[in-house]
Amino acid sequence: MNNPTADDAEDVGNMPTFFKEHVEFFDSLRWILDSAKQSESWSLSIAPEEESDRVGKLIKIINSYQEQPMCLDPHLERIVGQIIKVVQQYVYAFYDNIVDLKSLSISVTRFDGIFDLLYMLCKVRGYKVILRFFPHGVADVEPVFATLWQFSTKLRVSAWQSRYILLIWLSLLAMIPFDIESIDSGIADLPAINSISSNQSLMVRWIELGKLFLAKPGCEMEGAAVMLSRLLSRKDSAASFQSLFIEWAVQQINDAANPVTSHPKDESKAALPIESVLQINGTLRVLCHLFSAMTSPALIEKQMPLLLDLFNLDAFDHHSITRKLISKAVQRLALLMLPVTILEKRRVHARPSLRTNLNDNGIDTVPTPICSKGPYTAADEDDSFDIDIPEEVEFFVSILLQKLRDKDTIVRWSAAKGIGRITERLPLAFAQEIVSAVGDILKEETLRTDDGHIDVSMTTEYSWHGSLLCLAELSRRGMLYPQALREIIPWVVRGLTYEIQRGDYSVGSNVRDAACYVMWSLARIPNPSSRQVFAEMSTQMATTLVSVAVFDRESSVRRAASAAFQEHVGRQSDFPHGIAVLQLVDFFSVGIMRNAFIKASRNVAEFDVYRHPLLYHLCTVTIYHWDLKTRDLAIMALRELAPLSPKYVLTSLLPEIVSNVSSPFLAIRHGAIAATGAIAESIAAEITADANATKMVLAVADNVPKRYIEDFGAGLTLAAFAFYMGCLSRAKWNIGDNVQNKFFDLFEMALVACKHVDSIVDDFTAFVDSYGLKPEQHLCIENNIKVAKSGTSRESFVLAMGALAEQRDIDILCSIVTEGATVEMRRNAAVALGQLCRRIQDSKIHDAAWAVAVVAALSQGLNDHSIDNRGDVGSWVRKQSLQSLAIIFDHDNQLAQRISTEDGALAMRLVGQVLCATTEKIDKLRAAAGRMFEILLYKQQIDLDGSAPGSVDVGKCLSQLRQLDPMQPEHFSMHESSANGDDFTWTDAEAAFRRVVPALSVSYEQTRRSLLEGLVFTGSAEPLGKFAVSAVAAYAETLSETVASEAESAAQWDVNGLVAELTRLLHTDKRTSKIINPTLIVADQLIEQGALLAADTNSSIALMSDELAQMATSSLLAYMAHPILRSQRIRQAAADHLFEVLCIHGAVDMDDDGAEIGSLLSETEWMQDTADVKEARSQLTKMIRRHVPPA
Amino acid sequence: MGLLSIIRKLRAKEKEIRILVLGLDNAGKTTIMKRLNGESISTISPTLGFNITTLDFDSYKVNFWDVGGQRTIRPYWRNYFEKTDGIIWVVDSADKERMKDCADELAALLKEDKLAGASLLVFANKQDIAGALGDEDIKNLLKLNELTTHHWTIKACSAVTGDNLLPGLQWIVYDIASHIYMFS
Repeated sequence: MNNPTADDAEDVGNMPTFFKEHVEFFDSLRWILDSAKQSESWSLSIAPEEESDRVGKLIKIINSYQEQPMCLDPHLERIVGQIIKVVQQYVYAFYDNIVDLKSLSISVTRFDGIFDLLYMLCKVRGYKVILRFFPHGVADVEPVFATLWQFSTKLRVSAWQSRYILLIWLSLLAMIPFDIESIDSGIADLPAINSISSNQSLMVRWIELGKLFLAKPGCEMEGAAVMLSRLLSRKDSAASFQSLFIEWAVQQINDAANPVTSHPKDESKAALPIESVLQINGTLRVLCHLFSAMTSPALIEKQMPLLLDLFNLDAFDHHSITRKLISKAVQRLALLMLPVTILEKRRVHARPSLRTNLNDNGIDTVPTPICSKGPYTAADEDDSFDIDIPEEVEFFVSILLQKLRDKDTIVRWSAAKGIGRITERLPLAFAQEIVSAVGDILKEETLRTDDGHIDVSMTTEYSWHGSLLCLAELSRRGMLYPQALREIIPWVVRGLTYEIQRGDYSVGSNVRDAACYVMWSLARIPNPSSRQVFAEMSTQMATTLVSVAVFDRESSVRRAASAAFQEHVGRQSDFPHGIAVLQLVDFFSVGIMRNAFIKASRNVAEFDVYRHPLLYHLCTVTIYHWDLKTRDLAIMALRELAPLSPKYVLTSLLPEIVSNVSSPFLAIRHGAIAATGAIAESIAAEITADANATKMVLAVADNVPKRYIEDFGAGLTLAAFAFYMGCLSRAKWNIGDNVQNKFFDLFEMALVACKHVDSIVDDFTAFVDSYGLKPEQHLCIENNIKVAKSGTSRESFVLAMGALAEQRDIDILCSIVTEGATVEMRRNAAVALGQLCRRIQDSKIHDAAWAVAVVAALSQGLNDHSIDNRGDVGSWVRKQSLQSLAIIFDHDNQLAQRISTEDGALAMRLVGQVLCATTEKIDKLRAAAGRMFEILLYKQQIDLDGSAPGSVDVGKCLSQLRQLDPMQPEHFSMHESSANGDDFTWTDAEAAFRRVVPALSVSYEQTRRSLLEGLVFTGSAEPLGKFAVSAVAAYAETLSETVASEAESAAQWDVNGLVAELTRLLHTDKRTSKIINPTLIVADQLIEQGALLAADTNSSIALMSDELAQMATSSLLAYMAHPILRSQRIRQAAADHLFEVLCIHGAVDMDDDGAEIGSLLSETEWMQDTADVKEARSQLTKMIRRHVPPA
Repeated sequence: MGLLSIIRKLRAKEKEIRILVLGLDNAGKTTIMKRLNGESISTISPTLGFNITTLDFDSYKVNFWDVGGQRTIRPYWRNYFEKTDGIIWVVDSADKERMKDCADELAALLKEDKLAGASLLVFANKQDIAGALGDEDIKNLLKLNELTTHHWTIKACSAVTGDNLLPGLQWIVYDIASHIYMFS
């Protein structure tokens, strides 16, 4: 939000304003109202166009304040006041029009836009606030009433927003302190609605008008309900109209709920038609408003039996809104019957008041804090608390208790609030009964397990949610006393981790959230005697809250738990290490799941008190979670946490986990196997010291029934096994030969069964590193590449070959990179080559022949431009090849030297390819290339005095490139990330192009051409094209400067060279447009930007255009005789085009041939389908060929 | 509807106001809080963490956050669900040596955008000590007159005697209420 400026301050006094559009808004509003004021225009059926445009804009502005409507407050009086003044004029004129039957007719729709503006204000800020600024004089009553009446007779024409505004205006007017009868002038000329004629009294007609809207959906129903309730609770009408209305309403609901159907037998709860539902809801809404406006239950004494019958009925509560309204009506009836006296007395007790405390200050005497008056006990509540509770209240409370279990959240929520409000007004004994009744809902259908835990699997999340919401409400209102707290807190704590499995998802996040709400509101109980209860239970509460805050799947629940924790720390200060822990689990750190699970939990676990509860929660709940991602994170967290308390994990948690590895539930099995691995790795020393535990861990693979790793769906179990085996391997467990065999078999199965094998291959690599492979196992992998059943698994085995280490493995992989059948095979082989070389680089890669073979294969990979329906899939191979090259070259700074000595051409080609790849369109690919580029330039050492001529060339080329690189080595760092310390990154295309373009000056033609080709391809396509072109253009400019001065420079390269290179590209392959079109596009752009101005005109531009002309002409000629029937248009277009071109070049006037060509082109009927056309064309061709030799 | 939205709604409904009590250490923040809370002020030790106290003030429910002098608690200035409506900055009027520190801290604090729009009440505390600076002096030392981004006032007070606490609180509560609870 902006800081207030001096400008704003002027407008609204000293108040900072956050309504930043207010100047524009008021200008526009003034204009609109001036336009709307003109009574001559009121007969228009719609507002003038500009007016409605401006209204639309204002509506948009107001709507944008939906989230922070308070920002409008300082301006509201002015906004609403101005608008309503004009509306008032309109309404008066409308009324006069009806009464006097003037000739001028006023349109019903003229003010729609302005009413809509008012409606938008009501929507954003609430109608109660907006109504404050509406006029409410006696004189307004009849005009507004008559206008609405007229609008109502034209329901289809008038807008609902207009009727809504008039309805709420009437609801305000319904409260004028004068007798309605005395205002009634008997407006005569209103048309009849629903057989209510004009001779009825105003009051009767007013009520009937309201009833008309009760079955309307949306705002009108709400407006009418408010209006009717205000009207009916008037002192002068209360006696007669109110009771009549209630009787009518009950009748109405009953009628709607029991439609007279043609099948009287059909008494089952069929869904009611929507009209009936609306009618019921509208009528209930009036009752709700009415009950809350009433002051004494005596007023409805007579109707009470009727109402009790009604609410006893369950025939009409199919609809959730209906049930919510019933809950509302019931609680308001109950509140009406209960005096507020107890509530007021309690309030005085409840919260300390600042004024009292401060006025109380006797110097140096200790003032008695109000809140230390102690808990409310029965003793505190004297006789005056002993009131009679009407029987009906009990009935109403029982309805509300039932509704706490409702399947709709809005109903439960309304019931919870209702019970809270009612309980506040009841004597202690009764209140405590309600509290325990609400608490008892939690206990329904629960079981206590042997170890004292509460099993909730038979409960419904509805009843738990409703009950917890209600407990939170009761707590907020100070109705939970120490005894009840002691009873309830363990259940609330249980609610914090409530979750019930339903198929492959679970329910209960709302329950956990509601439990956090209870925790939060418990913290706000000011009563000191509850502190004692908290002190007893604080550890349990704190540790569970923290567990939820770091290990819940839902970020909203984690944050809610964090908020509740904070509230306790701030208000009760009895949570262990509260402040320190709070800073570890604040709103932001628990918001991101990964951070919460791994970092925050690790930090909190540093505190003794929290360590075991966190581990316990992790190992009993989270690692078995139904959601795979949650489980995986939990396993990672376990790896972090286990070393903090190895003994506890080993003795208390591990046996339980291992016993779950054969669970019939996939999620549990998967979690248990993986968790065993995580523990085996992170506390390996402690486990291997314990023979039993070692045996237990090693037996995991034997304990899982075969069907779980062989049947359908075995993939996940096998992936868990792979992880487990990887863990043991990394921790270098002593496993023995049998287990080694078994593990290998499992790896093989996993590679066959799983789709995503990256992590499995990592685990497999760890396995091979630790335990080696037997010859037959080696062979097995090789065979699988050829014979595995599915293509996917062949690809997986290719990837797994990265774990091997022999000459023939390299050969196989090299051949797959270059000739692999699928793009995935080639990609995986490229990855595997890099991995393999990394693993053996210390020993065998020094063999130069190997190195050449690997680099040659990967260099082939860089040329992979396969495309299929997934797009540029070759880019996968290119990227992986680059990454593998980077790995290999990064580890050996003599590699370039050796390769260029062996095969100079390969090395030169590689430099060019890498440069070309730095201009790739795909950011990640470019980044990989950039890294490789930097490694080549700054990490490779080539001996310039070397004997081999190849290596000298490569060395010189690299050293030139080093000089041309605008980023000098001080910016260079060899970190994994491509960021170079400062702000340069290869993923920023613009910066990357600027960096590599100067390399065009390199004196090696092959290298230069590769780079230019890359730039041309990238430059011809959006969105990166413009960056590439402007980089080349900028470069060409520097070239033109050097043309004169440094012509003798070593590069021997100037802008003419650049043009020549472009021209050469045009000639490389004339059959396809693959390279021609991009080159033309880039050349066009360069010419347009004036980058090639310095070029020698004769040299190449002319050549270029002649060549182009030839090609273009021949293709146009081909088109002119296009054989397809429908292609007349094409022929005609081609002819027209050719004629145009010839004219522009002045060819037509050149000589006779030129003239003849011109006439042939313009006079032949190219649209015809005859031999004439062919004839004309061949003649044309002949003549043109004379000037333009065939391309 | 989750807890966080419930909290936001309740805050508006119950007309809650959130005020941070800040200042250099030993300025008397906790003493003021104890005084407001009607507790004994005979034993006060440095505040370690933070305390939230809720007190009724007329129809408003005022939450005071006494976060001590610790900078580490700063993230809580802006709570996830409630923004800071006001700041009470407590100054030890007798500690002339640290007045410069005090001014710098306050200036830095008010630059936090999380505190934009918050009203500022400066308590020139410890007026009961002989030789304490008056509110005019402190106003100049803290350069309050140059402050345009926040509504502010300064009140000379004494937490020990309780002098002038009420007028200060009355100012800040009503200043806040006048713009956030204008129509409720």
